[in-house]
Amino acid sequence: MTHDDLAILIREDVRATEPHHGLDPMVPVRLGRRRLRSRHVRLAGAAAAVVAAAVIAPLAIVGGGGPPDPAPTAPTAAPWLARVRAALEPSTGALSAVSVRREGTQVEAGLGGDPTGWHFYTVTADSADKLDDPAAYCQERLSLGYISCTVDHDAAGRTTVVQELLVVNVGARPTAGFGHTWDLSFARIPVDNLGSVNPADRFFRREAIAVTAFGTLKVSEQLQAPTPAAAAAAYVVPPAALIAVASDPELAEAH
Amino acid sequence: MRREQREREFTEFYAGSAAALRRTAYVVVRDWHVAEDLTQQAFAKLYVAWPRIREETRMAYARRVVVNECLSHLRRRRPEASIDDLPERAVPSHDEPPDLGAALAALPDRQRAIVALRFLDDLPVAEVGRLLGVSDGTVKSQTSRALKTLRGRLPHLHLEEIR
Repeated sequence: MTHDDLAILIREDVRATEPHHGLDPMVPVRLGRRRLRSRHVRLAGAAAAVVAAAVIAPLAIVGGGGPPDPAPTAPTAAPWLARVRAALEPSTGALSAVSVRREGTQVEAGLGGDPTGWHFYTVTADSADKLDDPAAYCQERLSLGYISCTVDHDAAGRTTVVQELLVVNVGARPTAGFGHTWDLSFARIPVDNLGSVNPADRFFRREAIAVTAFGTLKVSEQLQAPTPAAAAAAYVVPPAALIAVASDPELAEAH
Repeated sequence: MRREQREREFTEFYAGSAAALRRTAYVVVRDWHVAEDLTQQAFAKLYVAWPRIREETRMAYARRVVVNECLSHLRRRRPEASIDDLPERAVPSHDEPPDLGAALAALPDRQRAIVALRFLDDLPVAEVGRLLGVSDGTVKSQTSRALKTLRGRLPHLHLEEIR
């Protein structure tokens, strides 16, 4: 036998033992879809972490008077997350990318339904944040260049701050480990400086912060838009719905 | 790329290539069930990377992923008896069919992958080198060693270095 006979021998062995059944293309398709969904979850998680880092620090400075309250107990996140989704999804539709992050006194859910990852929502419960003087808080926010900041009191006596701000992405870069995903870091820009930011790089964030018996509950929606007017037209969750979610007593207690 | 387009293209490519790649995987791992599982895992990775893969390189990309899956699987499965630990076999008579499986099993994993790519898939040395990330010289020397081992296990095969 010759060198080529080895090829023939291998092929005959393969042919003689090969299973008759074909391969199902839906197996890798389903596996692949699942991997893509996992990637989106990681994206939303990164976004949620950065949003929290950008916004919670100012809140702590303005709202925090005394020493922080003890960290919340560590219940399972699943029931809280289910409540978060139930509260948001009537406005947003199905949210496929979900992550939960606990850090110190905060529990935060990041959710997204947008395949680009640039339009997402966060819900943050912070037991150390008091927001003692909402009016002073808003005054401070406006002096920092927020687009708007208003205080809402509902009939039940609950107080909610609704604010909007301009942010820019300062950390977008492709990461080799995850393929086409992004390191999301945002910095607040005073709205007076809007003209200095490339329209394609502008992001707007609208959020409601409610004072609860356990601290504060903040619900935010962030998206990419060239102007505040375009953002206002693109927000999916109306301010009233943001307030309703932030003021949801079950959501405040569940975390 | 829209999901419908991705899945249509992917399914068409799968229909034309999955069986051949499962055969390659089988020669490397010597188990059809494992070969099928590794092939499906490799195609799942291919599905995720699909928009980034140029049409003309899809087959090479898929073959590389499948072979890497096989080699990773074999590494994870260690420790295993080395070639030196394999029991001595009696030299088969000419009436006895050649035990190709045992002969291939005696090869180190990478040499078996090279045998699969060169003798089953009929790929040239340079292409095998690109797929495995090794030089042409390494492919040739590993092929030579593999043939030497196979000659010892399959003495009725007069394997010669002709390419």
